Amino acid sequence: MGHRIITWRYCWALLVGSLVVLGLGGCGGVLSLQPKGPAAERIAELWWFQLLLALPFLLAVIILLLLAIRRNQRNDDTPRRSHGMRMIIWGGAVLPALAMLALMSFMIGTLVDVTEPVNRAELSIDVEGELWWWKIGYSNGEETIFTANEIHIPAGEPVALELSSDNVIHSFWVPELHGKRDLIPGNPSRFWIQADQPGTYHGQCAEFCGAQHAKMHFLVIAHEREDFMVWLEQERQPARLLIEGDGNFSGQQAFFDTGCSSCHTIRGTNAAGVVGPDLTHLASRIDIAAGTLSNVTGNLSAWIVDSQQFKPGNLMPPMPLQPDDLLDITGYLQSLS
Amino acid sequence: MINDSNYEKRLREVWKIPQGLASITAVNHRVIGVRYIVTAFIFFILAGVLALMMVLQLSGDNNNLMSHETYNQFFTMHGTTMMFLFAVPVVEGIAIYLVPLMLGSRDLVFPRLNSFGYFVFLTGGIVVWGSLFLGSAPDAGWFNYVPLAGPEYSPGINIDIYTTAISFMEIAALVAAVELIITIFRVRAPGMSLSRMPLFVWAVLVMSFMIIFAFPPLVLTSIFLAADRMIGTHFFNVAMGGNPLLWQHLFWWFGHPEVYIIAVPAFGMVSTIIPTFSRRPIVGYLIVAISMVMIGVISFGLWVHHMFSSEASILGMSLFAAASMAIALPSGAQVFAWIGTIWDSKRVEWRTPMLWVTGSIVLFTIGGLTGPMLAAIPWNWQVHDTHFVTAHFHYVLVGGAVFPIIGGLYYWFPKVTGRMMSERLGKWSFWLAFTGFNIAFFTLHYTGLMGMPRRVHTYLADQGFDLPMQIMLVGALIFAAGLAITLWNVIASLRHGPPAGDNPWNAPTLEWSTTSPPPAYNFLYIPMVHSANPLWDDKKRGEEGPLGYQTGTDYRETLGTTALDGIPEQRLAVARPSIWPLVLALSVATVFMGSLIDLIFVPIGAVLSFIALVGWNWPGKQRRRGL
Repeated sequence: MGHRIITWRYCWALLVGSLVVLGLGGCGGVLSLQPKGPAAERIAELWWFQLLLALPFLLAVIILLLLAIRRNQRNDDTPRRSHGMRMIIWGGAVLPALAMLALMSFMIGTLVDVTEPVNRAELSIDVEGELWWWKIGYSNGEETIFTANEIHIPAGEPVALELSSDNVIHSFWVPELHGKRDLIPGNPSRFWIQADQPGTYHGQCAEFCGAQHAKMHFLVIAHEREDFMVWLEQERQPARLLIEGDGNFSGQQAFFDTGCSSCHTIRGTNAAGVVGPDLTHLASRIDIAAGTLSNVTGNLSAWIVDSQQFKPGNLMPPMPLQPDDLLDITGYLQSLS
Repeated sequence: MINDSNYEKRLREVWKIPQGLASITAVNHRVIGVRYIVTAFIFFILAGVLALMMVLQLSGDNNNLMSHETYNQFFTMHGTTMMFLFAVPVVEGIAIYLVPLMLGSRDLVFPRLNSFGYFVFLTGGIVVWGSLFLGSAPDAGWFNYVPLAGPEYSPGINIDIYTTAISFMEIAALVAAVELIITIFRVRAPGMSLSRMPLFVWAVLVMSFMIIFAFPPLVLTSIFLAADRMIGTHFFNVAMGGNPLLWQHLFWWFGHPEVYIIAVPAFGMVSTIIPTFSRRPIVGYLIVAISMVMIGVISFGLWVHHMFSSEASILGMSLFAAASMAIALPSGAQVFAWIGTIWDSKRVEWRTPMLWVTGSIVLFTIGGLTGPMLAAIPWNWQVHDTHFVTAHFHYVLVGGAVFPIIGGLYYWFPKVTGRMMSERLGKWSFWLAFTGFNIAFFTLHYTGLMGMPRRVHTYLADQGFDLPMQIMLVGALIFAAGLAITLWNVIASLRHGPPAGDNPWNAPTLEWSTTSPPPAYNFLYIPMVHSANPLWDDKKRGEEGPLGYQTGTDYRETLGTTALDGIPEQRLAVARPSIWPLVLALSVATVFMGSLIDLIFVPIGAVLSFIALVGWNWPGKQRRRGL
């Protein structure tokens, strides 16, 4: 059989093809390899180190295979020395053992660095996984205020996260800042993140958590320290309880009357439901519905009327409101900055 | 000495495979083996279609091709089917078909158990897939984590189908493992010491032991969950002191070895096919055999690497990381034994089976290299539950197992059917599948690094996954086209393939010493073996065929030999065809599947099972004669 079935041309085509694939894919960011904080940075270094370790093996296997194929296409019958055992010993034992030793040592260094931050975290934030959104709590020792799907942090310092879930397992993941950590019911855990520069970093639930697992995004928003303190102070303020004659008074009343308040809290008012996200500063958020929709009037009213069309299975029932009520409620919610 | 033609006639008579409607009572290992393989491949095609539809759904952001319910059922069924209904049954089926032939035996030692196992597998598979067509298939992932899969968050019947069908079908895997182990230890051809055993049989031995240690914890934990769901126990209920991590530990105690349960027999096929076409014995037979045993042992010490992000202690996790990396050594040793065999060959014949297994070496290497990366804990935290992992295990399982299995299909098809498959179609199929697979799954590494989690039914417009997922779609279609050509090749060759002859590849192992397809009794004479490559070495010595032993022809009988050295020891009677394995399988199915409808079926099924067992063991002709 003189078939030349492995052609060099095919191999080149495959190589070029993969590079093109990589190049095209490059239009989106490769978040895991674009670290914006010390932990993700160390993890990315680990990646490059292990890639460097792995590539010679891949090349060795491919090149040896191709050489072996060419070798016995030569079709000569002269006896040759056998090299097979030597290949097993070097390729299958000695070199991989050394490589694994190197990887293990490097890995333990990284592990120590990313498990705990260098400096103690001054700020601790509660992160609770809900179905399917994130409940974020800031405590000052006396009271805890809650927001949803946005974690504001000061840049340039480590922030501790207290992760927990009282429903199913979720996993907290901001690829640019750190690896992931699961939120396991009954097993609260402590994690940390740090963003070196102010900016917005995308996060997403990484453990399959049911119907709307795909739509459980969040944002980490890093501010300069002073700006963060301003934000936190602003966030601590309760909403103003509107009285008759105020601009959005009818919206506030409709919010109470149509039952919104049985699930949602607006601090400073009688709305104290704990099923859905706290809405005290809803208007200041970038997105609604855990990153599913941007926070603009149209989306907000559409969500209120029938959230099930955007995130089927979520806990908020459709609200068939009168057009006036809907307009009022949307207006009221948009005043909650 | 019995007259030869008379002896043959009587052998044929006693080993006759029931035909027509009665074929349901057949217990011959080759019949059951083919049933397993064909059924498993049907599930493979079904699960493959699910995969294509999922890729189609993901080929654009916020795509509405399917609802989240459908998608979640699809990815759960894709994983569950590929693992439980394709990969394990297909390697078991191939083992059931080949092991007695490779060992020079007339059958497995427990043919009825074998038949029972098949019907259990079939019933379980039909129930699970029936549930998908009714729209209530399991939807919490093949890993089925609690509490999501618990009574509170999955109140529907979907998860009940998972727990019952899984525990039920594992009976099939377990009985196959038991009978394979005993067959391998007790009915090897005279002279076949363990050190002369074909590497594929070594692989099956390792696989079977792994099944015996890996599957009971899965059955146990499935029963725990079924109890939580059906009778209100609290194994996993956090509020009552249960712990969701318990499920994860027990599941992955099974789940990680499972990967090697599939991969090791595939390694065995590679180690069988490469020497045949390299025209020389494998380099480092002993090392390869020991490597497979090592993989089997080490694979039980890795399970926590599926749970690195659940936070165990750093020291504990590091131990599991080290064990996970250690598995690179026996795997690497095998890869280089294969390359070394090709290297040391004077001339390699590039027939289709060789092509598939050589392609598999490259793909398995890629998957094997991302493995230790995933064992590096901090990197695992970054890419765990992303497409990077999906890419990794598709390279390992499709590249490392499905490619060799298809290579094995091309290799053993002539033995099974007596006809050759088309080489031209085989090569087209390979190159399309190889190219398509790489386009599809190499891309997934990339989307994983971009931050795409697994098991999402859609993604946001600005996440940038559209283009890579469209590239994946193209690759997946090319891959599917490649596999479809092989399917066509099988169908066409069944009718029109040129006759194969006994040993078309000039292979060295015993299955090629008999006719293609083999007679119902496999071998006229139980062959005697002097080396690890009997057909090559006999030819060198100038012998026509292996010398052999006659067996009795009053009942189905094969030759029992000692476990280590293969010294003839006893005449071993094996069971006749029987309907009772089917009846027992259906009775046990009544217990498990009936429990989905009403718990009253549990005692009913138990009584039926008892009756079936009595029928199964009712003394027949051969018992009365004192056998």
